[in-house]
Amino acid sequence: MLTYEKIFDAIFISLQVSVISTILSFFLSIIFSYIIAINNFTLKRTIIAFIGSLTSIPPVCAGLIVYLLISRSGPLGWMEILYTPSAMIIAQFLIIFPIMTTLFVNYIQDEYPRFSEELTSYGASKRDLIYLLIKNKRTIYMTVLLIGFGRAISEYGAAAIVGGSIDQVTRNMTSMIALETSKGNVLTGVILGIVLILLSLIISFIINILKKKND
Amino acid sequence: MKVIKYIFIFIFITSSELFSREYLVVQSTTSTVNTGLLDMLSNYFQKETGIEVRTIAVGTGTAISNAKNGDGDVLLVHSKLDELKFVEDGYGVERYELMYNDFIFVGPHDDPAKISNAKNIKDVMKIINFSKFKFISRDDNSGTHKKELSLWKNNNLSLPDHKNYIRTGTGMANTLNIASEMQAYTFTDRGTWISFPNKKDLKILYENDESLHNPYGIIAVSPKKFPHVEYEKSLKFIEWLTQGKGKDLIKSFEIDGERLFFVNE
Amino acid sequence: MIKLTNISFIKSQNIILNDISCDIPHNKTTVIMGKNGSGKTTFLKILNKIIQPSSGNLQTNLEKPIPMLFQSPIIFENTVEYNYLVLHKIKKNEINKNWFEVFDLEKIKYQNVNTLSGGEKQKLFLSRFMSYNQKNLFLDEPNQNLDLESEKLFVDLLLQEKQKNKTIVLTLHDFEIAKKLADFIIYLDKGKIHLFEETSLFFNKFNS
Repeated sequence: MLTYEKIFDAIFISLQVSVISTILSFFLSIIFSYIIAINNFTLKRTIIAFIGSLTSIPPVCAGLIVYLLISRSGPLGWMEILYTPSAMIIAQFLIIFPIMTTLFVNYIQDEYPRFSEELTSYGASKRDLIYLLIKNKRTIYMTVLLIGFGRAISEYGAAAIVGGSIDQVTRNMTSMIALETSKGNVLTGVILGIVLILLSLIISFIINILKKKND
Repeated sequence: MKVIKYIFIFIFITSSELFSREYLVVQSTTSTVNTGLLDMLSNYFQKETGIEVRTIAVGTGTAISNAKNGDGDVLLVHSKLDELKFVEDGYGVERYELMYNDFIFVGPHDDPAKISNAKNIKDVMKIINFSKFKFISRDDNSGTHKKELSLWKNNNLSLPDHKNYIRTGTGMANTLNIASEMQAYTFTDRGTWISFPNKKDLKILYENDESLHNPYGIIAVSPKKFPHVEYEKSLKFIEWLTQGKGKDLIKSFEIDGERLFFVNE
Repeated sequence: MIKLTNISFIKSQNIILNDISCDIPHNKTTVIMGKNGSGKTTFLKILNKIIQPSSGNLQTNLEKPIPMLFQSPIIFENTVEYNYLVLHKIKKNEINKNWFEVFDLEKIKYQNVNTLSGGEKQKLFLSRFMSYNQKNLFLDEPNQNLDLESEKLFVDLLLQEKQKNKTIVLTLHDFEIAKKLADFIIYLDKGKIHLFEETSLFFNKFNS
């Protein structure tokens, strides 16, 4: 019953969903983090702490939240994205956005004061500082991408709930592993798990090579 | 950089459904899917009619709840009382009996509780209630668990609360695995049992009791309540399954030479 | 001159500078010395209006901070040439490559800064700082990590700047170099001025 075609579909779906959610989260998180870290406002510490706490959100909870929103009886039901890869992307986004934002905010808060102190004496404006900070510290990006992607591709629960684990449509690797295991095909589950790890290894490898090329 | 942005937007758009649906969403119990039945049926149906069948395989309880939210076109579960209520409350149009098999009790080969000697279902339930031997219960709002609860109720026994009554809250195969590991007793539908790959440490100990009948019902979600459902396609599917080629396919579905599901003629 | 009156700086309940009062003369070279943690860097930052004192009064012609050589300057993960040019390019300044050559950076200009030694990095920072052609020079430990040859180059350079009657304030650890460069030496101890004296008179008083 489990064919190579189905496995390849699951791999493709995992990659499609997790790559897009990672990229989406990455860019939105950079923008959001800079705005928060650089400006001072009354609720700043509270918001940063709150986002930090969201890093512990269980995938199933993220899935349920999105489900409630996009279910037919939910406020966004008219969008008809339940049980599609788009819903999976959104659910994974909810999980990794807080993680990336927390990493970036901490990084900026560490780097920015020193940047600001010295470079404003050299005449740099706030805009210049942000530009230089974004453009020139590349290792933080690789690290955040790796961590975010790892979390996205390995999560089970969020994408499964809003995607419905539909065979060859929204069944990604982790859903397939869970399904095979729950059917009693433990060996198959383990083998698929190894495939997933190898996949992550390859991608991590690629990101690291890109990182070295930048040095 | 711009190229990447456009590729990303393109993928995002094509992955969502911008066009009208050419597929059916079935909210189903797990035993129809885990045995491979629904996959086989869907393939044939699609070949014949071009309609894709997308199955969401969750527990009976979740399937019903999802359907009540309007998140499906067809409901396929095995809990007759709930199915009838679903129709009565206006969520479904009509309940059709799709197929049936039965439930069985399985346990360790040496059967220390002597369940195989039981004369009727009431004896079986009493033995489990006695507490001397481990019994694994699914406790997860599934059709199988609802059946177990009804067995307690119909035999005037309260739910055991001793330490040998173990609640897993997981699916059927998981529960069977645990029963196998712990050499405990448990209650399963015959379809999952036949397709279960890990049978070697367990054995069927009680079966063929008419109170263990396991009927599966199929219901089209009501277009009156949810105008967006693909009602025409649902009717087509249900008809195909109950009167057309689908019926024959169910009858001929076997694993290791054994039939899993039966139909009323 | 720059006049400090009762300047104190407190951070996290630590007294970094304790009631400092002195006059930094214009057109002269003043060297600030003292043990690690004595407050030299903070002193310099206050002079350059990088940080505000917790209490006390600073009288200076400066309206806002001028380019200053920090103790651990910001380095960008890029080439040597990029690090030299970037700040000028941002402000669209005219680029003066003279200092780049003075510090002999031409031959390593395409190397990534990660591959440089401490001394090579310091030469980069010095050349970058000097490229601003300031009338007043503030430098924090400008000779750190420099080898003998480079240090000599640096000292000669600063002597040339002295010739131009610039106001120069820097921190140093090395007494020998201080002797060569300084008109005045301030010795800080635990945030207080232990001794402020003309160089010729400083060492006698210091050793007693």
